[in-house]
Amino acid sequence: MSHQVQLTVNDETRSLGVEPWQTLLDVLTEDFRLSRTKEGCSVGECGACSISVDGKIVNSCLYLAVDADGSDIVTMEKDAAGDEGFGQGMEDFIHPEVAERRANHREPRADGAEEIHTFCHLCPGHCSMTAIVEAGRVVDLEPELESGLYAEQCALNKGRFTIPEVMGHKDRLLYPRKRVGERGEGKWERISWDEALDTIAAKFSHIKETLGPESVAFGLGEPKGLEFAFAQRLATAFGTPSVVTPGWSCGIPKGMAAAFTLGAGTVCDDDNTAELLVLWGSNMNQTTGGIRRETLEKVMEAGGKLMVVDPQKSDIAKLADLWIRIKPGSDGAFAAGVLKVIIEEKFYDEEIVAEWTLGFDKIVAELAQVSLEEVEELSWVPVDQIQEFARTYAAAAPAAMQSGNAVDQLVNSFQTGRIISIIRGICGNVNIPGGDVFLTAPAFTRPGSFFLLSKYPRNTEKILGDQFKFAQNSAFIPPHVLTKAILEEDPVPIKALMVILSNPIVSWPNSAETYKALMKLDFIVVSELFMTPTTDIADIVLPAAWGMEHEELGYWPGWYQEIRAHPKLTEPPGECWPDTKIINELAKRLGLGDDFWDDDDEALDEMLKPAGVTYEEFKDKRTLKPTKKFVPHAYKTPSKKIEVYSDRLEQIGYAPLPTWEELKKAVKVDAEYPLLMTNAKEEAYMLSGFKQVASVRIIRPDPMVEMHPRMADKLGLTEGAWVVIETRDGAIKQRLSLNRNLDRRVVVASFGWWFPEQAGNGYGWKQSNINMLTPSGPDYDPSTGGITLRGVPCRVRADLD
Amino acid sequence: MLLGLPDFDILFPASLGGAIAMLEEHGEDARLFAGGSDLLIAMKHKKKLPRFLINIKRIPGLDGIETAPDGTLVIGALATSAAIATSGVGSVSTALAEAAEVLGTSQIRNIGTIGGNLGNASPSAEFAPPLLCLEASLTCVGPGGERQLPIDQFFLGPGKTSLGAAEVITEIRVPPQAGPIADTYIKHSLRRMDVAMASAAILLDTNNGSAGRVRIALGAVAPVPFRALKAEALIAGQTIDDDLIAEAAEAATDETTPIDDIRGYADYRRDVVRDIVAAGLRKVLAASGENEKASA
Repeated sequence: MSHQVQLTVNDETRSLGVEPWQTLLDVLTEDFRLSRTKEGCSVGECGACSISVDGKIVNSCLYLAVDADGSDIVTMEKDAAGDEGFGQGMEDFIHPEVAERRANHREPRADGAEEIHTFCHLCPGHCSMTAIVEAGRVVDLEPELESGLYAEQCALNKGRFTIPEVMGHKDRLLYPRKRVGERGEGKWERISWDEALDTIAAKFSHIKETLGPESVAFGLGEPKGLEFAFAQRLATAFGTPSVVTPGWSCGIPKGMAAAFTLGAGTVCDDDNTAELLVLWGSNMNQTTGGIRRETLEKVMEAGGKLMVVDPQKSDIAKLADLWIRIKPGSDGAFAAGVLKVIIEEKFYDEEIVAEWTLGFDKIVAELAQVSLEEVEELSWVPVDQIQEFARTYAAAAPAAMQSGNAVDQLVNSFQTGRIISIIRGICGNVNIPGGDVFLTAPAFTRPGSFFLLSKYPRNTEKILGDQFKFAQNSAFIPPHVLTKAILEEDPVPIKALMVILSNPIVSWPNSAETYKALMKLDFIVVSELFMTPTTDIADIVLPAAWGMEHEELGYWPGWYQEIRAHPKLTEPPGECWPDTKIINELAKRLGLGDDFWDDDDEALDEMLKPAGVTYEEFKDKRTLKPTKKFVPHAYKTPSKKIEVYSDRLEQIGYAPLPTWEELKKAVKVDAEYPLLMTNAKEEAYMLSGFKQVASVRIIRPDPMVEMHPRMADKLGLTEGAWVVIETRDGAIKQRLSLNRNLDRRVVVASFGWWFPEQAGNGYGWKQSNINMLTPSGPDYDPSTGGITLRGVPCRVRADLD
Repeated sequence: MLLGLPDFDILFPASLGGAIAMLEEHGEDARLFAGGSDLLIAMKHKKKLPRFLINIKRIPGLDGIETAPDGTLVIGALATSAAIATSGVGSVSTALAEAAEVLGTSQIRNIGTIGGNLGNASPSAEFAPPLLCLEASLTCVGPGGERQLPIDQFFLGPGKTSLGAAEVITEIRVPPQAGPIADTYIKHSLRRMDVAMASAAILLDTNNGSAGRVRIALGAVAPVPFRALKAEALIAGQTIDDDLIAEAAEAATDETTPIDDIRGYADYRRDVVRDIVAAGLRKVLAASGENEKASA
């Protein structure tokens, strides 16, 4: 039942109807379109939604709109009006106690704590932070707002919540250990670093001598500091191209698409205000993704427009002028429809097309066969919305368009990315202020040249998955290629795996297959912060030091072209070693010391050599940033034009033109598996990490699956109950949450779940982990090995156990 | 994914009688709604799914904080933590004011109520240990009328209380103490804003100087907040010195039955109890010394 309420928000009084379940935050976002007041954790922990109600600061996510009838509401928009981005005023509004403490603790701090500037290492946003260090312990991280370096209003305070807790966590791994029972039995013995490294070196050397270096594989997670580059360097020097990284489903498809179309990857220009922002499969309010939160606020406050493509009504989608509720996995078809409208309605820049494109006529012909009705059928996006999206994008100047991981996790991600790049290019949004721009990197050693040493060319004969050329070019192989190679011993037998800060059992597709493959290996070594389902089946587990526990340079995400100093602020616990030290010491034992250093910290200077500074000097400077030159039409393709048609692709053996045949590839559901499962990044966690961290686990205590209430009714499912989600590959349980904003055919499951509290049961890796449900192919993106992970046919039933 | 609230209807009773009638009518389907800082989270997490919320915030007279003519401190069930922290209850009980100040964040203290904090019956409820030491009682009103429930009979287990199905807590009554007291509340948590991993309230009746009666109540280390009666008995009437503090702290620790959970292991919680009971005893002893000086 709807209730009529009167609300005064920042001096504007409105009367409106609200549902009982609407929070003030819902109303402030959707009706008042406030963008600084954000949804973070949804449960009153983070403060991002703080507002003042009749003079009292409260969490608007925990305040019923109906209960606020007649209230006088003041939000941070009022004080911050006209401010560029996130400032001390907003921070103090969100965290009044910290503001009070800060006021009491000005230099010198009464509590004797030190304040040291650094960067948060948790998420790709890498905000500038002030670490509060008390008696050698990092106790808090406050946004650093003095230097002018980038610090966001972190909607969830993810780094601030997790970093101090992880550093002193009761379950941190503290000593190297070796397995003494059966695999997965949980019996371990503490060993010395010498024994650990000698054992690993002996195993790897033996395999190299008997089978060849390719039989030793590496599994790397998202780069944190230099450990990714160190491990790649070790793989190169050792002679194995068998390196799995997340690139295949994160960054590489769209990066390659931009490279082949525009000559280089683009990023949204945050320094200038766009007329329109497009967020495509990217929810940058909760998870970092391409456009800064302050850019969104700036655009909204300047009266700009926002379009969002997302199956979920995310925090951003609630603010959008146009929300495209796309069918999961059909981005290629939708993109083709948009381009078709832009072409056929002549919305593009005719001069650019005439002077700066190659093969434009070919895509015109290709898309002539496409009907918008067919696009609607494939993508569930009504024809008029496809037209409105195309018209709005083409009419805006400038427009910045960010596509997220969702678009990189499809069987046709590369060609979809090509279409998106073409749309950007022909509408004149490339390399202009406020558009999508090329960055010029500052002087530091390119990570690629750090780890691909010219004296050791990567073996391309014995590489796994040699059909996926872009994977090979980017120095990785997709995970499914490795697991299948292990199981089939083809093209080479794989005997050992070294995993650095990654959890393949949960994070690679088709977990049952991953588990089977890993169990078949002779030797697994994992470096980690905590025990995980993957360390559980390892032979040796090494305790890793984390960011802030050692001197570190961060360069990731690579497309931002920056490098940052992450100084050591505290001693690592127990016998934890930085991964760079682990790899450096292992390299020496493998006889590869000449390619490494006496001390791994020397590599920090090596990375900075082109900048002419040492790491110690750089710690004061803190960061080197790229420059933007805004040179029009500076396409670095062979033709110096926007390559709608690419000869280079043809030479490599891939379709030179994005074909409708490939773009329209969509997941088909059937009577047996009638629903489509998708997922998104979990706001509270870093991918599969930190389920044992109380400060975020209280925010998301259980894996939840969302479904439309009508579909739940039809299937006889009860909200809050554990339900079984089944696909052709497996079945898991998650708790049901109803979401009125979803398409009835879609379910959104939680990613990355395992249960640190279930030691002795493989930490519950089978129970709620959605990779039990994802396929490992075949049916791959021909260039990168991509699989459609966003959009998997499934069914959901009540849990009768 | 964002966590939305499940479907429900909200009811606005005009009087306490109206609220009780609604509770009787809807039974298990209904929950009282006051601050909502615990209930709405449980609803977003889909752990509680009431069909009706009975919003009692508009019923007048439930949020007062005042001292009755007989010296009883009467705190309305709808008084927020922030209101309690700034109300001057510290002149009656330092521990009560301290508990109000360390509960959650400013935002939560502005909406969360003392009635809700007790009614949710979390083992870590901030207000429980000070009120146990103060031997407070809860005024409960239901279909059968009003009754006074001593707080040590209120908690039955995590989330379970002896409140009747259609009963409403309307106020918390802190009786006048026999003489001057010194008390304190100490919470040990991961972060300041977090719920307690272990907490203790210590109250010293300072009539007899340092040999006064001591009350010790503990939170988050058993299914319910409770008085550590053996530890209290151990030191009753004796001159409290460092040895006795250590003994009492040990005895209190022995009375706990903590669990392992994501915030801490049981052993760690026992260590914390030992530390905070000892620290609390030293603190009230020091305070009682100052009181004596002040009154001399």
